[in-house]
Amino acid sequence: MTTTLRSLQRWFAAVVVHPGTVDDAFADRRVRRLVPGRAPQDLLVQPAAGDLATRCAVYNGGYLERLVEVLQGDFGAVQHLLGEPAFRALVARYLQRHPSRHPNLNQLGRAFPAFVRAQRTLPQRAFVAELAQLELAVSRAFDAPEFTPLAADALAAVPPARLGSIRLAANPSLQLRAFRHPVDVWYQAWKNGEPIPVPRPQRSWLAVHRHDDRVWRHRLAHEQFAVLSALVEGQPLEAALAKAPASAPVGTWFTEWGQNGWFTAVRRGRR
Amino acid sequence: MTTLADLRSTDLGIGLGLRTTHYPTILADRPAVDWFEILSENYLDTGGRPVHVLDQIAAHYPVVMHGVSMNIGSTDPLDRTYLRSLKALQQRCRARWISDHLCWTGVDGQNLHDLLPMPYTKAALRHLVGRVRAVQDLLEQPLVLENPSTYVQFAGADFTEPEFLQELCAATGCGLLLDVNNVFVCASNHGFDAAQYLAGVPWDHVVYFHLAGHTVHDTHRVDTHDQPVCDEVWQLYRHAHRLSGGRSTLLEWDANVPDFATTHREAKKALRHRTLAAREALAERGRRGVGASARPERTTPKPKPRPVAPRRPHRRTEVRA
Repeated sequence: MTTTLRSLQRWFAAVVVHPGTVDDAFADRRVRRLVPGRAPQDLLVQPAAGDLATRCAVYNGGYLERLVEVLQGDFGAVQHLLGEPAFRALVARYLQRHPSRHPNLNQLGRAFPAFVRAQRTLPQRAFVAELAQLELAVSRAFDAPEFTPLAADALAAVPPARLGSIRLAANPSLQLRAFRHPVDVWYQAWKNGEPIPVPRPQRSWLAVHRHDDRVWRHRLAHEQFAVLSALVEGQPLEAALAKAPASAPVGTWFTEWGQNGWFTAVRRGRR
Repeated sequence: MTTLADLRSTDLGIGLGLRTTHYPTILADRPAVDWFEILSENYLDTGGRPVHVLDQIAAHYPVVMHGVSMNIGSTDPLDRTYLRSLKALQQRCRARWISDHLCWTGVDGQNLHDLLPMPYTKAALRHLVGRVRAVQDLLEQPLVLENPSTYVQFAGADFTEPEFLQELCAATGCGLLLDVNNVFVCASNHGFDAAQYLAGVPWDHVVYFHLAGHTVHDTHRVDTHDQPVCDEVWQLYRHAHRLSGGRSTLLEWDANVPDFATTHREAKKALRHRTLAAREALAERGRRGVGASARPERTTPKPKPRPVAPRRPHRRTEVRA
């Protein structure tokens, strides 16, 4: 019986990503079903030294090792909080549910925060999920497309009568996040090498963005977050500013946001 | 349109794989490196520091693109978005050519981010020929494919690896990136003669060489790129250099990467081995008399046990500020 190239690739891929050992994979009925009637010895050449399982383990072991290492790089704070063994186990489960489907490994962790949030047995999962969200925001800001910030005098050039109706295009690196915990406080302590206990719930708001090729985090007040969120959603300036109290120092905010390069264009008229 | 002859006639000298840990030294000191090879995926789907560093490096050095996700051997459809991204990146950094591996990296949409072996069958060859042609049509240039390190071989092969490469090159006009370390690792893992392998390489298609270190286990060797090139691989490189008549050469060092100076020193050893290769060629001609045909020597040594190290992949390693 011949095995097609596609069947062979499906079988070998199943052996490589199998969560157990290579022998477990060889014995797994779901894996064997991919090449009916064929044993591993029929499909692979007996190696010059050692056995097939050892050779296949180079691929099977390397798969998890490699992808754990990638997510360790992206979610270092989460790993620190959970400890390496728990983090590895979590990643192994994550990869079963969300295998990589992109040529680029910088996309691998996109579903990780939501996955963490769904892990009912994970201790402190609400905080861990928010920490993962923060780290993912850092990754996304780092990898966001290139942009040119709005010129400092761009808003001044808009006639005052039209200011309320303009919309501002947000810098694609700008990530706004609302948390139920002061997650950035914990994250900064971890980055400083002085980790602190997981804090009690307390709402917090954060902007993460890239400026001059560095990723920056800014803690926001709730009303700043509300205005920025409305602008990022594409609401006109007037509608966005209505999210803040009349006494809010919006002029100061916009000066700072402009200096941070959070906007890239002024758009007049409807969306 | 760039031709294979254009690529083959370009001897860029001795290059280095560009690694993030070396960015500061390269940007500050502009060391005298002949050329850099970038890992293509590190500069795709990102618009920040990686591409800005690449812009600066490409302004001062010749650059070549080397990818790990083309998935050329897969039975999944070609990822044309990815291929168009490669082309755009090439235009940005003016890369001399685009290379990837003779392998598959996933199936059913899943990317295993590993270089998985092809069965060397007629069916696989037909499949690859069609896909390599399609990629070359899209990229408007010859694709350069690397012989991978492998740890298993599929049964039922119709060809040896060099025979498969010959057939593929003849049918598509693609280029070859001959990884000398991979030849050595595979020879050891699969029990063939590395020199015989070299004798079967379609040299007219070889565009450049890779060199790297590997790890020795009890029963096999793993292509880890985490240590200096071993003596046996240097010896094989000299042999390949003689057979090729000289090609661009690149050192890969991906894990336990030492400082720039150490890495560069290791790469520059290739210069000495090129000179030695020339001397060896002269001596060989002297022994055999003018007109004698070159015959490869046996270069496959016995495996030596060394401490095991985890296999390290090609991957994105950008450090965030």
